[in-house]
Amino acid sequence: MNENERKLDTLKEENPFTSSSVGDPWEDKYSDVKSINERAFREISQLVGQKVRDPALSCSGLVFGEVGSGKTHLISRILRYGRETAFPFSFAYIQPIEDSEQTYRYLLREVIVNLCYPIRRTSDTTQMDIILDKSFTEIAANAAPRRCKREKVENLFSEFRKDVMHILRKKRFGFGMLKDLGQNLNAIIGKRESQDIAKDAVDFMRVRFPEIPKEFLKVLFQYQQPEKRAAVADWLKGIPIDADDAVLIGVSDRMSDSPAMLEQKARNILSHIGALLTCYDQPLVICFDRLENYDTDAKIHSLGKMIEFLVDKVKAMLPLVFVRGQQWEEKFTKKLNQQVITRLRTNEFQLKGCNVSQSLEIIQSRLMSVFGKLDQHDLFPFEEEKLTNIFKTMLHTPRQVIMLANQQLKQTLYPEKDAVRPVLPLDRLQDEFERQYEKIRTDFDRYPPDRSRLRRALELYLRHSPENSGFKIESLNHPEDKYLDFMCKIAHPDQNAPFDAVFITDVELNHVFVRASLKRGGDFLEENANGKAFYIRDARCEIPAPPKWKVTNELFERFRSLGGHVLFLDSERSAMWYALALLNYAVKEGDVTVISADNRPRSVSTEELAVFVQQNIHGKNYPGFQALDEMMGE
Amino acid sequence: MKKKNALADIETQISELLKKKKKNYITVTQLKNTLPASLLKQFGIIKRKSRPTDILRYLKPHLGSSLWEYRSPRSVYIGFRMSSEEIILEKIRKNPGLSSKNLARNLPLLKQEFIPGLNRLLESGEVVCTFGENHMPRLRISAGIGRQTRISEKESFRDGRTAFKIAYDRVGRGQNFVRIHRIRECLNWSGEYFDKTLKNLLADYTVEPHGGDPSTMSEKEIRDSFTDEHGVLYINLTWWGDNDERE
Repeated sequence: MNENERKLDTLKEENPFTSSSVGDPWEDKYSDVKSINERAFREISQLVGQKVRDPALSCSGLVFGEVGSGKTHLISRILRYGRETAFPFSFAYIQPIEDSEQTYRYLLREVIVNLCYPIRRTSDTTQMDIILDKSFTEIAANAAPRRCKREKVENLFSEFRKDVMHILRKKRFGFGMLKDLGQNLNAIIGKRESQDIAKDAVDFMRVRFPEIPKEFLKVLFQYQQPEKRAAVADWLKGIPIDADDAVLIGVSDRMSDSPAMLEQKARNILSHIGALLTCYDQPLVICFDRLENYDTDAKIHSLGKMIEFLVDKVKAMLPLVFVRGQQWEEKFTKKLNQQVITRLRTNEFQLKGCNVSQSLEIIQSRLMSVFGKLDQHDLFPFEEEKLTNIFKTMLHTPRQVIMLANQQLKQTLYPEKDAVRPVLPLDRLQDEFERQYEKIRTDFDRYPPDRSRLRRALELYLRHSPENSGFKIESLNHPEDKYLDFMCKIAHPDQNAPFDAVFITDVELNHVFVRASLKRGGDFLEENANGKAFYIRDARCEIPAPPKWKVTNELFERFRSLGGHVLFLDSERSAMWYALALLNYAVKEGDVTVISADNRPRSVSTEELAVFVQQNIHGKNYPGFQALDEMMGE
Repeated sequence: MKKKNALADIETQISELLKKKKKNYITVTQLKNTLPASLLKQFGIIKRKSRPTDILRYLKPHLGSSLWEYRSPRSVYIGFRMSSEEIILEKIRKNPGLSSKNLARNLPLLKQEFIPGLNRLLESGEVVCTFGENHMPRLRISAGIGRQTRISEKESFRDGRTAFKIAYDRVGRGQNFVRIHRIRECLNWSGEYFDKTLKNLLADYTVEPHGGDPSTMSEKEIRDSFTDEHGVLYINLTWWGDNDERE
């Protein structure tokens, strides 16, 4: 086998042109071609640089790019730039919002998820660690050393004495006991020292940042302790937290806070983070992508609120909005208020298609991801002249380049076939769904419980049920009651008349909310003898067993005894639901593409997604949905 | 700092407002009623108490390069910077068959600007005048608007390119995404010549075509967009000129 045959075999094994969508900026696996959109990137970097020099500067940016022009790739380049320069700024990538009632909570949650995400695969260090390092460096340099007072020493020994008595009562005298005593003394001194240091740090920061409340600082500094990290991250998201977590980090669990209060708390936390970032010259670049999914007036207004808040009310935040030009002109300028439009338009950037040499550069860089370094003009198995003739006709988007290269490559690899078999949309959606599912499953913490995404997946599932599913959704409505997601009329072949059904998705840790949801489900079943009620919950949001949540557990039992269906989604199942919601975002944005029968690249349509849901999501392929199928068919 | 931002923003704010209202100009009174009181306050303008002349005095220094102050016998306007001819042409295009007297009504031009401007358009043939049964003059855009550009079909490619850019700017009003069918309508060239010019502009990367969502477009608008030899529909254009990414 010669070198070329070996290369062809390798490409059959691993085709580097199958993916033309970045999907997630944190995971961009292909190398960057710097000359593409170099100007837009340079100008954005300059804006970021200006913000780093003066974090209090109010500004934002609007990046125009058509489908496949590399918007998400540019976002990943900003992230890469941060990684390569030891993060002079922080970075957050915001998926589209679903629930406009939770605008600030959603924004805060997405920001915290990004700040608490490992900056490299090889380490656990997060952006939050970098911010805290800066804090501690400053505290170490400035805080007055704590004086060891006599009374404190006495207290310390009194505590030690108590533990010694305990050890002496339990153990027989020997080397093990000495070891335990030593460890105990060390632990007490260590605990005391770390408590003292934390207190000093909070005291110092209180003076430095009088506008930041003590509770926020106290919680933030506990992020350094691995056993408390998850609890701190949850608290920072502004949501009600688990009662045990609340005790662990010494805060209230926010269970009794009203939605309005939680929104206000989310705004406050964002402001506190902004104050810290301003002081440490570490602004937060917040990228809003996939704007095609802002498909209702309420969601667009949410975007406007977020932008206005980040620019005008919080310091050290730089929102960058990535949008298609036509969409901006025809949708967003008509619905966003003038202040927001003006703020965004002050710094405009536009992505540009690739010329011939850039197109060839993309192709070579993809080849190098398989073969390693190549000579400058080595494009094997492609013919440079043929590619040049294709790409010289006009500027092509990077996605067009990759898809056309994929098409050419397949014709080279499989010459025996008259025409290369087009990639079917259902196969493509299947691959994309599986990829997304795998990503969520292996990185589960990055996808916190999200009712609005569960609802999105549920709606897709309900709206597109196949004829052979054993049930037929005759109507589907969004009730005005916030505790309920959908009211349906369902026809069943074994029953003469259609029956009513109600669907409740829930991720709340607030027992009052959970109680209200379950009560509505129970009441519905009492009032509708033939009706069905479904309660679907991300299993991460555990309902504490009795005697805790006494009334809630009683209502839960009542719901079950009335015939209510309960579906707890474990990590594997909920990953499927979240994957379906994210797949929906990608399809709406035009990010899932296929080569059509006439050899043209095109985006998969929402109608094809509907067929995919009917044929692949329903049925027995995925346990995450199979259970619901079975309940519905009963 | 806040005032400094407001000063910098006012040009953009007014431009966006005009685009939203799909107008090229607006009276200062209308502008006063539309702009937020908080913004005007930053210029020292109290919305309820200020007269149009006061507002104009405060805003005028900050109108920038894209906006201009216009006057008619009755009102003061702020609008996109356009020549008298462009203003007149735009109104005739929207209201063909107007008499000169009606045409002058509500135009942001003084008589001494309007009459010479209209005469220049009549002389160049861009506007034609016919008479109705009641002897009323009727003004219309010449069926050959683009006569000038049709001539340029026979001339060099360079002139076609210049005309294309003028149409792009006029239709797009400063936007970077301009509907191809609107440029085509503005130029009124033969389909063949328009497509040929566009392909040349595409091939030397002067313009970049974009796809988009045709669902809100009429059949004619889709037809008047651009479809390449592979059948791919392009709806919008960006004019890059000789912009080099590495500059």
